[in-house]
Amino acid sequence: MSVGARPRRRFESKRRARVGAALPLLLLAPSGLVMLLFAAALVLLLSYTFRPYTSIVIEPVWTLETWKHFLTSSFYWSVVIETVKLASIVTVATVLLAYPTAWVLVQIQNRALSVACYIVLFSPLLVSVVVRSYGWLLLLGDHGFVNALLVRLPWIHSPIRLVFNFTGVTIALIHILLPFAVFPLLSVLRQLPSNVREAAADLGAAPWQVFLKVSLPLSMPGVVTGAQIVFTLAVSAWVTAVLLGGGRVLVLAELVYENISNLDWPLGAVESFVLLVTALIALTIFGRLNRAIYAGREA
Amino acid sequence: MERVARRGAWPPIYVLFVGVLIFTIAPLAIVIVNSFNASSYSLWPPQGFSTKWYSIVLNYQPFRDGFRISVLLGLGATAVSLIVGSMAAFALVRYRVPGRNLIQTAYFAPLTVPRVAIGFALFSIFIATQSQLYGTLPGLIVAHTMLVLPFVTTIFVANLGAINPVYEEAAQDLGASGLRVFWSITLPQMRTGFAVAALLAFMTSFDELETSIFLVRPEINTLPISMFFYLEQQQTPALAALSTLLIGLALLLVLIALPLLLHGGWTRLIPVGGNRS
Repeated sequence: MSVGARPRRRFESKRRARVGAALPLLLLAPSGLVMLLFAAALVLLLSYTFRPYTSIVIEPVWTLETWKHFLTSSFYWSVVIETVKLASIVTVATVLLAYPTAWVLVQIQNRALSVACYIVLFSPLLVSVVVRSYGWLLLLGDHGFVNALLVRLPWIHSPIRLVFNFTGVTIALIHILLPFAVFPLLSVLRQLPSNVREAAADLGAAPWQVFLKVSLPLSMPGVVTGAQIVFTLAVSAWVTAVLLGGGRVLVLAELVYENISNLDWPLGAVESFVLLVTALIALTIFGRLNRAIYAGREA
Repeated sequence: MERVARRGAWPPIYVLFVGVLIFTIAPLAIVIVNSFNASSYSLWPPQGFSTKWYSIVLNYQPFRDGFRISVLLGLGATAVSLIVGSMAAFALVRYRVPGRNLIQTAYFAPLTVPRVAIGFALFSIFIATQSQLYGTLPGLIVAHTMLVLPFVTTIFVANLGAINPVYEEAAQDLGASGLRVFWSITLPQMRTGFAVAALLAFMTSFDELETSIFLVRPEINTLPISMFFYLEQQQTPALAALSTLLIGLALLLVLIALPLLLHGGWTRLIPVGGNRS
């Protein structure tokens, strides 16, 4: 993943290169240790997936039972499908909202107004997911703010169920992940060359044609990057699913937590890896998409 | 330019934009309003005005303990990750490290693994190695360092990459030791990087829940974990009062950092760029 929006100069020091290799290795050692712990922890977790379920003691026997149990059960597959469905809906909706938001944001000329909009849009990032989920519980509850408005409408007689179901989790997740989609779009839209758009307009393209044929294709990398980040975070979101799903929306991450609380470590480990593989598949697909976009541009 | 700008002004898009702003701020606004609700039931409209929830929440022991632990944890994880991350970035940018791209990619690995899985994996290795890290503050600091290190290292790599080493080399030629060069020349130029990285690391650690929940014992619950368990049980406005205090704290931190961020070109340092390599 590259770091910034615009290409930067990278200052290379040729002189230092001659100094012995000991110092850079020493400097990398502490972070290397952290990475080593990360890798070791994941390998241990993987080994647990091949252990029999014996509550606390991990027996030195290898078995494929847990994997078989998970992969042949329609229940677990339905949870996987529910998780992917949730993440997909959230990703599409978030990107659809983020695009026009970023579009307007880069057009604001007034500096004070623009800073204010940035603060509003990115302030949720500073607030705990628990607080934000709680806010949505207050807004969407049967006797919450939204339903208090809705029941005033002549054709709505009783409150509409908006929490403790799929709808509530979806709305709250879109809210929580929106800034992650806006950010990469901002950096792409800010770099959008205006002369290309002007040229298209001068050649007689209608505004919607300029957008569809010029602006949108040029900003696709931002769309894909945003979607990638949102999907990866949505597929593993746990707090929001628990609090706004109220036990009725079962996602993989929730199963992991439940099984570990019940001391079924091998099953929890299998679910962790299914979750990890799901996230990696999504990452690969989005990565391919982005490379295809760049390749298409160069051709 | 003028023409494009005006043609871009398609009214519905502004309506949508204002809608998104309202959508973004609504759950925070309702929390603040509800914190003054006199009734224990969080119904709309609020039943009278009261500030009693603030005194209740400030005297609620689990939240007080959680706040203390979360601040200590945030400071610890920030300090460790800044030191470890700046060291790594310095090696990666200023030296010819073999396999640099591979190392940088490896640093991103913890971001791709779901936090619940990281929490469980760390829990099992803490237990299996009998390291006494499970259920302790140092154990949590290790976990949070792992989670924020990708951001922190990337910010420092971007930061250092934009700093011309000519001053460092000049100081070296004038006889300064390597450490002296780093301390007096490089470090002051990395101010913005440190500010952005510290803010991001502290915020992430302070709000972290999905990994931490596997690593805590009831007596050292962090604040988000205490709030989560509280919210699962009850929804009195006490939680709204606590949330309002936390929102205020977060805004205060950002306002303090804002001048530095506005001048420092911070957007270039955030590790979610548009291009991917």
